[in-house]
Amino acid sequence: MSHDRQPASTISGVSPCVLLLATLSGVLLLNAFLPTGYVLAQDLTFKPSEIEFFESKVRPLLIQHCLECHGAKESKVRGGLRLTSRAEMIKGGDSGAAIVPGKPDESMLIESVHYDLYEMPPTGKLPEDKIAILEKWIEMGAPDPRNPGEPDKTEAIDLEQAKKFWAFQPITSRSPVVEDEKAWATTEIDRYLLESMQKRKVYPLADADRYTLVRRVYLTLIGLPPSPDQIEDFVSSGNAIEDDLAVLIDDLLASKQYGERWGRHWLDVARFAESSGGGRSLMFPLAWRYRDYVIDSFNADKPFDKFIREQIAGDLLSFDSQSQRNQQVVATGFLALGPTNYEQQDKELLRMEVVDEQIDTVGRAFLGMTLGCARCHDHKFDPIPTRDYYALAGIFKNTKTLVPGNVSGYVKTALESDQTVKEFAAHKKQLATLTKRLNELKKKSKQQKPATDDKKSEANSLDDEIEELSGKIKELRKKAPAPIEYAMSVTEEKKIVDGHIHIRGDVRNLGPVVPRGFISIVDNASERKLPANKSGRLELADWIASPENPLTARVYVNRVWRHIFGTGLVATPDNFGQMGRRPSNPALLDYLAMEFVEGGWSTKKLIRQIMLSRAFRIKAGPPPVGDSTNESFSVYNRRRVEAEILRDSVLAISGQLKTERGGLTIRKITQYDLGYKFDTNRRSVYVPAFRNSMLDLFEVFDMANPNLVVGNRNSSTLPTQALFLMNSPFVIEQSKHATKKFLSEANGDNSTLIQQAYLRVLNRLPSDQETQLAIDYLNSYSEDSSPDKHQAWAGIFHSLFASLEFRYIN
Amino acid sequence: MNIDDQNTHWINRRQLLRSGACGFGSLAMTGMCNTLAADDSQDNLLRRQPMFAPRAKRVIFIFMQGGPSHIDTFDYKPELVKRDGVEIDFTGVRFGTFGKESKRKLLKPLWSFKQYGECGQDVSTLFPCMAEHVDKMCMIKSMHTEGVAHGPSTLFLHTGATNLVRPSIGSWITYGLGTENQNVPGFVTLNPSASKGGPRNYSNAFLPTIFQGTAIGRAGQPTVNSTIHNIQNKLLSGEEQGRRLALLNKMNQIQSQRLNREDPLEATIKSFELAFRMQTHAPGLMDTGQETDQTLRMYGIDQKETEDFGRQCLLARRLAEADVRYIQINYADESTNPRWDQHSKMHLHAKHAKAVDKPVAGLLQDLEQRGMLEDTLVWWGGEFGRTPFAQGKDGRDHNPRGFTVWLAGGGVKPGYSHGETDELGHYAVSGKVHMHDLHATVLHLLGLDHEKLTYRYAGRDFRLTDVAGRVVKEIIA
Repeated sequence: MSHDRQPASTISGVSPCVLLLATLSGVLLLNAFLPTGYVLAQDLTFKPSEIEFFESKVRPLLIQHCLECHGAKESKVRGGLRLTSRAEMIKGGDSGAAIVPGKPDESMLIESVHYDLYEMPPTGKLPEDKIAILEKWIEMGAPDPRNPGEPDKTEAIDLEQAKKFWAFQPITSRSPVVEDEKAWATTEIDRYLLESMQKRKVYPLADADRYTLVRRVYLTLIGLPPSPDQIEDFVSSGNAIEDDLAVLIDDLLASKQYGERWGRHWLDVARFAESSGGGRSLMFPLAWRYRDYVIDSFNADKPFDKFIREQIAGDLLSFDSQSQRNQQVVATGFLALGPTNYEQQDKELLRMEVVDEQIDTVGRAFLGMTLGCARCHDHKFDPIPTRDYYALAGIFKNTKTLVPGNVSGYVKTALESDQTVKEFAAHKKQLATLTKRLNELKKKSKQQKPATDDKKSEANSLDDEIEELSGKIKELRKKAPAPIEYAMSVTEEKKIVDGHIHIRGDVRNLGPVVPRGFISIVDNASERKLPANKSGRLELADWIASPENPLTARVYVNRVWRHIFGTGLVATPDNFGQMGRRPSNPALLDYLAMEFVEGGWSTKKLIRQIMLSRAFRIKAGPPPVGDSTNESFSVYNRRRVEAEILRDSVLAISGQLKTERGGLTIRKITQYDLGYKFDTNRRSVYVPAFRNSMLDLFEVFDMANPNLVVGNRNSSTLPTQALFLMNSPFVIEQSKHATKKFLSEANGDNSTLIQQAYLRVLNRLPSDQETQLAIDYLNSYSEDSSPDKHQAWAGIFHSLFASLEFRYIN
Repeated sequence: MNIDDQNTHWINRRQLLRSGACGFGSLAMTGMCNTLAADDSQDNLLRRQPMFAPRAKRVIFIFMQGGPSHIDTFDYKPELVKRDGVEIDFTGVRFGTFGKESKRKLLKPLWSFKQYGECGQDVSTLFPCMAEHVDKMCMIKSMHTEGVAHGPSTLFLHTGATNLVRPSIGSWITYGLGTENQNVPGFVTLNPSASKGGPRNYSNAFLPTIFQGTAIGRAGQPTVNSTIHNIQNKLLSGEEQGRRLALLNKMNQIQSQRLNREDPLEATIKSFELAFRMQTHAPGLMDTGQETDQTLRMYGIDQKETEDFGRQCLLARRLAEADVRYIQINYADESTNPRWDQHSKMHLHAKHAKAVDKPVAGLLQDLEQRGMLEDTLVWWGGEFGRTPFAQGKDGRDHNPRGFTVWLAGGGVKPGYSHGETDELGHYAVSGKVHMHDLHATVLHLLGLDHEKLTYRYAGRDFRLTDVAGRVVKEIIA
């Protein structure tokens, strides 16, 4: 007997998106969601709930079961019948009207799906619930917002129309128009913001004081607080604030800590982790190289276009030296270190999942586009046809990321020249051959004993041979070349082929072959021909990193702005599509993008330019009436510090921070990442980053989820954070260390000491009230006993660490 | 219309009060929450009211990691007994054998079956205690799911996706309904496993952090030691803690005043107050010292084999009493072949059955006695079942195409059995219930429409059941 495999009721692993429209309840809303130019059927008005019914139930059904043969394409239409609009369905095909609105019993469509008249769809009868949907819909009067003659938007996206969307428009320059600009604005950035403020009739808040500014600059640029001396220097300088800021910003940009802070921002976007998470979590003991590569790139101010090329196609770039080549190979770790479920048994599906993850990450990280949506059908909101998705998928399918196996593996590339690798292999082989021979001889020699007289000479010669061979092996071992270092990476597949569209995302339901290519909405080339013998990754990288690409520079300068001001000019840094926010200040965004590209894609220049604006100096406060989301940045956004700042600041103040840079930091590579004991006092960026376990402080304070591209971290306020600050051994221990360090360094009466403590932790002086509070607290402990004194001060540091201001950049 | 898909700033003070305060706050906060909820009825991001009248208020999911054999426990197949040792054709589903034809030898159940209760449900001798409660249970014998290996199937069970990063069912439910409890988290998982998806099985994924499951303890660690992180301060004396808290409160008051009492600062102060209450109440919740000997015995806590899982079951009841919305208890470990995963030595099922049988029966009995079974949905099951044919000489392989779970309480038909596998127990054939369908049904019983419980992320709306799922109306009382 045999058992048929039961078809799964859904396509495993694929995530077609839920029709958004199903949750909407109004035509107005509906209109707002549709691409510009999409008009509802005008001769008829349907209730929003009816349209919703069509959108959520009927349209998907038609697309899935009917439009393949009864769609808009002339060549394909069967029986002369199109089911692409209400009018065409009423008009019908060769056999007459397909529907009679209001009368399902008289509608040929219904007879056919019941297999009474015709047998439609021919591939198999629809399940009862789907037939019921069609009947109900016709009974309703067949509400349908589609217009005759217009291609179904799920079939063909009108690219010309879609190109009018702001994000796909070329970057243009437009000067700001402001009144009385000299009164406040000092830079071009300020003038753009002032224009926006004047439109909203709001005024910039006054400049923040120097204490606030110095903390703001330090935390923003290097993620560590200034020391009391550094604060003193900045606050007591008699120079103009612009000049002092310029010097300070340049100093900090040149420090190594800058890369450790700004590199981390990029690691959020790159969903960096040192294990795979998922089913059977695999450790990534080589991933640290990518982390260090990112940090080094920021410190070296690597032009961002180059940074893009290296991460997408580093293995394919030319190089002048072995070290350059190594760096470029390491950079492709970007594509390799996603949350892959290597245990997935359906390997065809697994391969596609990896491709999907790569497309999604590249799309969101560099282009601010959610391309993953087009895996199963044309993107519902953005002009990304499924074709484009599979054109890109072709590029990544020809990129090798996985090594096959029951639990698959990832691709490792040697960080040596081919010659060295060959020599190493040859040496290893030679050693193995000799060792094998030696073992054979030893075995033989053992078997011969006890030796008889006539065999003695033979035994002797055997012993000689063993001795000689041992000597040779010893020699060879001495000459052993250094072990080969590897990086997690990708590489080209050996055979390059264009891939099929997977119908509804099913890896085994193949549609037409699609030539590899890019996103047509932003691709100006009329026809894109990628080399037949290469994946096309290099060309893709060039295309993304091109000044002509309207998305890349905009998306990146917006990320940088967000890390300086707390919100982006586009508030959704990873989504520049229809469902993302519109830019609050499009002219400023374009101005920055243009300056950035012209300035050689230099991140440091960009940061410097933004931070030297007057706007950066504004005081923090609540948004003004008239601009409730602070779109014109007339106040500085008070923002919670990231988990890393919190931890690194505590360690810096307690004197426990280890400033060692780079390298492998996983203490012991174990089978599972969960249960890992985090015990390092190095900067947070070097704390092992696993997908199944996170340092508790990171988890509690909204560390970026390493499974997703994160341009905007969460910033929650939860009791678990309070519990952490009140009770965790970390804070309590570090308060003790901070006390010890402080009491050994600071001098003076209690009032002076309290000033010093406030400077260290909150980077400002205490008010009289605050000083008095602390003095009273100290006095409640015995002054004479040293343990008591330490205990009292530990209480002060603990409370300062747990206090509100320590958690904010003001 | 644009929607921020990253939710960075979505927690304004009011929302925070509703989420944080209702989640962890004091009794005194409740009135305030209600007022705010009414006030904010336009806002559907933090929906508190069910979409329609619910049958259950909370869920206790008893996870049997590794895949218990349905054909050795609840799904009795006389044909399988009859044809023991006969070879059948089989198409491979694993890496290496994918799509390949082979012959497999049928293996009869190792335990005998008997009918129990008024409903006459078959139960094998593995579960003598649970068998006494069959008239409370609603069997679903026609389950099928995705994935063949533990990782993907376990993730699918919890999140509705085998590989992609999606929120856990508990996160979806707390997102949909919020919490009614006052001093403990809304979604708790006791002693979860670190492997087979690990924390992703109780993760909020892209939902706001507040909907993440709170893990108490870890698989392999004695339940008696399980606590919430940092809920207690072990390094400072009570007196010293009190002093520091008083200082901190005063410091914070001054700072907040200095910064004009802006919303986020005030919310932070509130979070301290709530944390303090949690610290006061939560440890008590985990302390079973007040339970009577009789109760402890009912859960098998007095016996070595059942002590640990008995504690989990008892804690589940205590958490349910405290109105935790979604409670998962885990019979799990960290090994490559977790718990019920008998690829060989099927007889080991007896050991696992022994460990869970009495505790689970005790939980059902206790819930009923306390009148809590009515509005508590209990769900017992694994990530898949096992094959009717043998693997090696005395094991069974994974079977995601047909297996059994049971539900009890919370609006499901008691003493009922839904669906069937084929005569051998291999494939679900009638009344098939996909894992998506089970998810849809659980949400339905809680008053949530699985098609409407959506969350906007990365430019689109996601839901637990993706584009699938059917409410199994047949099992609803």
